[in-house]
Amino acid sequence: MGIGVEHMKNRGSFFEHSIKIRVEGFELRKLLTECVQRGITVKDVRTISDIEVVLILMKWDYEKFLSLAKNRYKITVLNEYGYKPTIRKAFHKKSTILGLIIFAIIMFYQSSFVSEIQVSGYRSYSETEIRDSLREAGLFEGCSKDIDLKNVKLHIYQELDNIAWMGVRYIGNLAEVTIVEGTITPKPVDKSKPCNIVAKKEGYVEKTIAREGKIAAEPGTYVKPGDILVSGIVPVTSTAYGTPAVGLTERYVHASGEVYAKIPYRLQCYQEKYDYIKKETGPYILGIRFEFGDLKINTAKHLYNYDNSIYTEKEILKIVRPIPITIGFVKISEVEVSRIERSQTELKKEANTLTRSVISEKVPENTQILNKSLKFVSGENIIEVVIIFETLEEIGVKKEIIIGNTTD
Amino acid sequence: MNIKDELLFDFSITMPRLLISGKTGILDNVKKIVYISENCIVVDHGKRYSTVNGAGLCVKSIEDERIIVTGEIYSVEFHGNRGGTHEE
Repeated sequence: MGIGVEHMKNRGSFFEHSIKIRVEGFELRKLLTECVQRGITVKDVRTISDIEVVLILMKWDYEKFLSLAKNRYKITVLNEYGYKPTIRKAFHKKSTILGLIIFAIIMFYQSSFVSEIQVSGYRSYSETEIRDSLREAGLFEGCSKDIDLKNVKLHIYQELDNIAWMGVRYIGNLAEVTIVEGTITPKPVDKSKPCNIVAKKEGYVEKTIAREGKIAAEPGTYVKPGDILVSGIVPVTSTAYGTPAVGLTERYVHASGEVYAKIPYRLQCYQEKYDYIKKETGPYILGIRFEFGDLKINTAKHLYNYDNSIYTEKEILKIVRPIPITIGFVKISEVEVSRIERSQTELKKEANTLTRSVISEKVPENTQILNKSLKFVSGENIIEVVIIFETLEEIGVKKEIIIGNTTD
Repeated sequence: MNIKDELLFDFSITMPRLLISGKTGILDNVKKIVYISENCIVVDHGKRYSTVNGAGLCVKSIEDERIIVTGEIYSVEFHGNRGGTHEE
């Protein structure tokens, strides 16, 4: 059909720059004929009347078309199509540019926060415990990704025992925390192997029940961790006269039994000497707390100048995704603080409660507490409470005897 | 059609060559646009003229001596110096 190679390019693409124009004048057909003769591509020719047509020209043909039309026709540009005018139009609008900048800032800002934390690999700890520790270390939903992960890891290693390894990996806004717990439970000694019973805590031996083996620590002996309580090396008197076995003076056994020891504990804690009573005087300041990522604004905190105050807040919005935002109403009320000395009964009651909680933390479950005493030392504003108590605990633990090694 | 006729057909660049299908018409070898309206388009092919009659006619493109017309096409006419009007 006679189409030249130079005309094979696609002239109808959306991406090409084209112009919709209105042409008004007489003998429009002549102008169109000249377009045919000059190779100007014309599209969507719509005849409005004998003296008016609307058509589309490619941008690169427009100048040529104008030179053909000269001043015989009135030409009005109605619209422009293609990516170039679209981009130009978009960037000529200030609101579009502003919107794009804000969008880019939001996208960038959003990508710099942790929106979700996934914890895996924990066994003895609960996920809540790990999350709480991470929060204390500064890694929480809504925190910046710029936090020092070394410090986070250090905090976790210090806070949680028996963490062998910890890794934090960012996948987008997700922080993936992997925990590997170490193995601290000693393997039970095989019954066919010789072993001693050694102390796992220091204390005074109270009672030893040796089922197998030789008692090495008599009642009343003070033992330290690792000291042998029941020995797996038992002396023998051989009666196999005339045989090589007569030379044997000891044999190895799998020691078994229970060793109870008295373990003294001395703990210190502190109590307030006075009860502080806060009484509102009347004046207060209302404000708004606004948090946007790391940006923290509290209008009330900047304004108050009370010596003593109570801070109350009602959180009205807290979102993490897409952007971490927190908004809350704040009230700071001025208060007058007065104090009254606490009574001895009250102090003792609280000290006992404190003692129970301390004992439950420090002492293994089902341990018999032999005696307990509290000593109060009064300071200027605080009272030091010294808790002394003694428990009866099973302290024996089996330890394998490696033949050839010293077992001390 | 033998080779000679085929070659003559291909190289007859001053004769009307029209392809009409449904609501689209392709007019080749266009040298001049004689008349253009919503109901009628007349073009000069050099030696002869052709007319497309219809309703709501729109020239989709004018390019490389080719005009693509869309709309309701009722009839096509050829005019020229060889014996008056012939309608198909």
